[in-house]
Amino acid sequence: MRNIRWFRLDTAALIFPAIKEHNWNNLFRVSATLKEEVDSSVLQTAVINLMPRFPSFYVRLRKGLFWNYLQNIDSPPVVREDYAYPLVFMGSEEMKKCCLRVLYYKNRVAAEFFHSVSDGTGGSIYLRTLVGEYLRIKHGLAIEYDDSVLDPADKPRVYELEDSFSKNAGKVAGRELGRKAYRLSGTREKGDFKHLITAITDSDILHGKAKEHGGTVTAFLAGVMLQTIIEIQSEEVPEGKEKPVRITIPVNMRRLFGSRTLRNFVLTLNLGVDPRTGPYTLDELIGNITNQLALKATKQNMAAEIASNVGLQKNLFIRAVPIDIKHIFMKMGYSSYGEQLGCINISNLGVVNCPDSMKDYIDRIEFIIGPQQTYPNNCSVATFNGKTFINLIRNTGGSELERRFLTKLVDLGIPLSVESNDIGGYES
Amino acid sequence: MYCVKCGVKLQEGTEKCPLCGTPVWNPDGLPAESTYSSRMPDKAYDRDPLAAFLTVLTVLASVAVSAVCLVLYGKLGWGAIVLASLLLFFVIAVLPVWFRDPNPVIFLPIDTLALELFLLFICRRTGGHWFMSFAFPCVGIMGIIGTATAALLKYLKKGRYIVIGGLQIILGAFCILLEFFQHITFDTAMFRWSLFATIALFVSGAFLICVGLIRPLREFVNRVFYI
Repeated sequence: MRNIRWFRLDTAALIFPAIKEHNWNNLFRVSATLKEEVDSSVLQTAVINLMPRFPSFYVRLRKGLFWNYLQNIDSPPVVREDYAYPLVFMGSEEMKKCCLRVLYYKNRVAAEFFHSVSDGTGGSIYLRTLVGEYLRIKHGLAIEYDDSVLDPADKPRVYELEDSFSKNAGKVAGRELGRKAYRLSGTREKGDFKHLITAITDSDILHGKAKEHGGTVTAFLAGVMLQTIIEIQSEEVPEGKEKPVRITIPVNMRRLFGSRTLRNFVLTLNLGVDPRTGPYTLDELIGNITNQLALKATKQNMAAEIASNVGLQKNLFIRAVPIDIKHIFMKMGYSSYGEQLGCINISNLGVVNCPDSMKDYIDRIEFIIGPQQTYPNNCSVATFNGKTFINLIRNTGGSELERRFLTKLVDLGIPLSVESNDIGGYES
Repeated sequence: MYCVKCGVKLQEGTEKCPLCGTPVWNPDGLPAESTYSSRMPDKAYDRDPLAAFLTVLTVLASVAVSAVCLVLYGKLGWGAIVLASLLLFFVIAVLPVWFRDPNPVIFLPIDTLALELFLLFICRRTGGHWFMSFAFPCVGIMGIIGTATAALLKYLKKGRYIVIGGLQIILGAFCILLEFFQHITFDTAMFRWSLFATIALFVSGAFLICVGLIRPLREFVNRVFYI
């Protein structure tokens, strides 16, 4: 394979440089907690060793005349000690050096990505390969490489670097826009501090409970979250004036389209109910989400959604517009529609697997998405080795949403262990 | 250990439940072990290289202009105006970069004074008669309004909508005054443009004051615009 020096941004990635702000941009984190303390020098070696295998991850963000693009970097990112909170703001200067961070703290290795580089699935493959390489160097572990942990000695495959959006766009464009959704509010923390609450539960109990209520784990958690937000809205907004309550659920399209790209390939669906239509029981909410997912997350519907985005990207007139002007319109479009249709993300990475030889060394694998531009709260879920990790992040004071959501899960019979990055109380 | 209110299991040594804030009884006095370090990201942004670069650039441009004028004409000539412009650029754009947290309440009056002196120099140099009747009052009033607004926004914790709304109304009134100075200096007709600007600024200023005074409206605007 020829030595690629730069990459066009994929269709989903184009929006992220346009909407970044002086104190916010779209980042996500995947982390693995080992059963031993992390050796930073070995981790640095592992980061260097993966450079040829993951060319689309070791990149910096550059600005052309008409589009942003990602350019390969020659020197790898330096591993750093983790901060007091995840997803510390990645400024333009940092992104001009590298759009990937590798952090460590005690037993934990974390990789944080600017979302233009990849999505949760791609990020988790990078992290697992990084941990695999770390364990190989440190303990001489013989790893059975598969799709979850790639062999660093292999060359990158063409299908891993493809823009699956352009490849799978449908012939007909179709997009459904609805009424603006209810907005969770709160007083934003000064600076960049983010509160993280991690709820840990047994995945079998959670799965069983979801099944009992007639849904998948994602639909079940989305249903409980819908019920929580409906309750909060009913206390703030007079009856009859309520706005729709929707959960933004990213759908991994690799399975739908048979893609194996390591770059972005997710589309989000905004699913929920309008509380003005009447009260809903939890089972009705879960059923609603399940049915809407079945209806909308189809190959044909997603291909039409992709076609809407790709169509804009390929439009000759739009392509001829200088990047700064494009960014203004993209930002306006995103502010008007991109984030206005949902209240919170629930991004479920699903069951994260790794070769058996690695499992003895890894305690946890977690996934965290940052708050959106205007959603103060976000929720991300990952399951590893029989435990489900529900990460609730927020950049505002007050943990009302988390308290109500998690106590509802406890009331439903799901035992939870709760951790926080803020045990001493953050003073803004 | 569990939270008696929420029913969730907590980390050993946790002092209070992260969900509801209920104090947790810790009979063994175990220390809390955080899953995150206490390391905060560097807040300080090193502006010194940028400040040094801009200063050197200004000095080099000044030297180059002076040299070109002196070699070609034997005197500064038009170069004096360029030098004055570079000095103004330095005071307004470069000087604040040297400070870590430049206070607008200090820098705005300095900028106003620099601009007044620059305009006085240009007026004298070009033999104009517009400084005292037009440039001096207009720039002076703008400087006072700007400094007062910066001070109110910086030191008042509340009432920002009212401050910005009030500023818009004062700016609206200033538009009429500006056209009046234009009229007496350049003999132009009155009320050709200022009334339109004044009405627009009055309306938007009054709206912002209403937002500031009516709490539900203010909360609605804050929520919608995520302020």
